[in-house]
Amino acid sequence: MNDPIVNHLTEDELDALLVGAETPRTMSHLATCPSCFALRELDARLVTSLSGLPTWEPAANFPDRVMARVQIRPQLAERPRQLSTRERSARRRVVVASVATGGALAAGLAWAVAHPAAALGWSAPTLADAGQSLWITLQAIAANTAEQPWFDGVRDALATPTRAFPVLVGALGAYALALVGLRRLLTEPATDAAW
Amino acid sequence: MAPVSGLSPAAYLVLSDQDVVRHAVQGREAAYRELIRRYQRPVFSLVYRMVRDRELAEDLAQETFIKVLNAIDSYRPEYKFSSWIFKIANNAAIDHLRRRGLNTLSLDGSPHAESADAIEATTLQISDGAESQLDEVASRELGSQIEVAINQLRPEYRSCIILRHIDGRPYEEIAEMLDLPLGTVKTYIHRARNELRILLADSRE
Repeated sequence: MNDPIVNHLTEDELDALLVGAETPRTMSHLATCPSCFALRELDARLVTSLSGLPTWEPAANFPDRVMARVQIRPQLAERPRQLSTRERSARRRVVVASVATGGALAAGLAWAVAHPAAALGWSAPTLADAGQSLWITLQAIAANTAEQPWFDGVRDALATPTRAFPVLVGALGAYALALVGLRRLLTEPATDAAW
Repeated sequence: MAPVSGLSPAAYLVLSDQDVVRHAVQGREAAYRELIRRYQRPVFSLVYRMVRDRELAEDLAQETFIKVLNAIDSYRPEYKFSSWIFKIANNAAIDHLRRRGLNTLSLDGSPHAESADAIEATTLQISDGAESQLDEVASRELGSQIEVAINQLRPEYRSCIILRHIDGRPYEEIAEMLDLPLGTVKTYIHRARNELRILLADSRE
C-alpha cells in the first residue's frame, strides 16, 4: 500500500494546483501531508505576488526613437505574393491539363474538318443514340411527375394566369431569398473594410 | 520613401496583431506605431526586469523593436506576434547578461538614477490591491524581496519565471519564444520557483 506522505506531490501536481486543477489524489494528499500543504501555500503566495509585480513604461519619446530608425517600405504592398511550392505545382498541373485537353479538342476538330465524311459516319449513329436516350429520359420524367399526388394541385394552381401569378411571384421571391442567404453564407467575414 | 496612408490610428485598436502586421507590411506608419504602442510596456518590462538598468533596458527594447519592425515582412502569421517580439527581446537581454555578467540588483533604485525622482521611479515596488497600509507595506516588502530574488536566478530561469508568472504566458508559448523543449521550460520554472522559495525563506530569517 502506498504511503501518502512518502509519495509527495510532484512539481507538475503543484503546478496544476496553482491553476486550480485539483485531483482526488492531490486533495487527499494535501489533507494528510503538512509539508506539501505548506509548499502549496508558499507557491500560491509566491505566484500571487509575482503576478502583482508592476510593469514599467519606457520614456515617452520611445516610439519616436524607434520610428526614427525603422525603414518603412511601402513597395512591399505592390509586391506580388510569393506562391508556395505546393501552389506552384498545383498551378502547373492545371496548366498542363488545360493545354492537353485543349490540344486534344483542337486536333479532333482539325481531323474532322479534314475528313468530314469519316467524321459524320462515326458521329451520326452516336448522336442519334444520344438523342433517342434523351427523349426517352424526358418522357419518363414527365410520366413520373404526372403520377405524383401533388401534380393535380400544382396544375390547378397554374391553370389560369390569375391563379398562377401569386404562385410564381412567391416562388421567385423564395428563390431570390435563397440566393441572398447562400451568398451571405459563402462570403468571407470582413475584418477591415479598408483592406 | 513616404509611407502610404491607411486607417486612422484609432481604427487599429480593434485589429488583431496579425492584421496590424499586414498593414505594416503595406507600409503604413500608423500600423508600426500601433505595434509599438501595444508592446512597448511588456517588452520594456521584461527587459528591465532582466537587466535592471532603465537606460540599458530602453536601449535593448529599442533594438528589439527596430529589429522586429525592419523585418516585419518576414513575420510568419502562423505564430503569435507576441512570441516573436518577446523572443527577440529575451535574446537581447540574455546576450547582454552573458556578455556583462550583470546579476545584482539594488533595492534603492537603478545605479544609473541621478536624481531623487529617478531613484524613486526605479525603486522596486509592488502594486496589488492591499487593503490597509500595513498590508501595503507588507506587500511592497514582499514584492521587493521577490524582485531581488528573481534577479539572483540564472538568466534562463529568470526569463521563464517572468514570462510564466508575471506575464501569465502558457508553457507552450514560452517554449516557442525561447526555442526550448516544453519539458525544459517546465523544469526551469519548477527550479526557479524552488530557488525563489529558498531565497525568500532566507531573506526572512
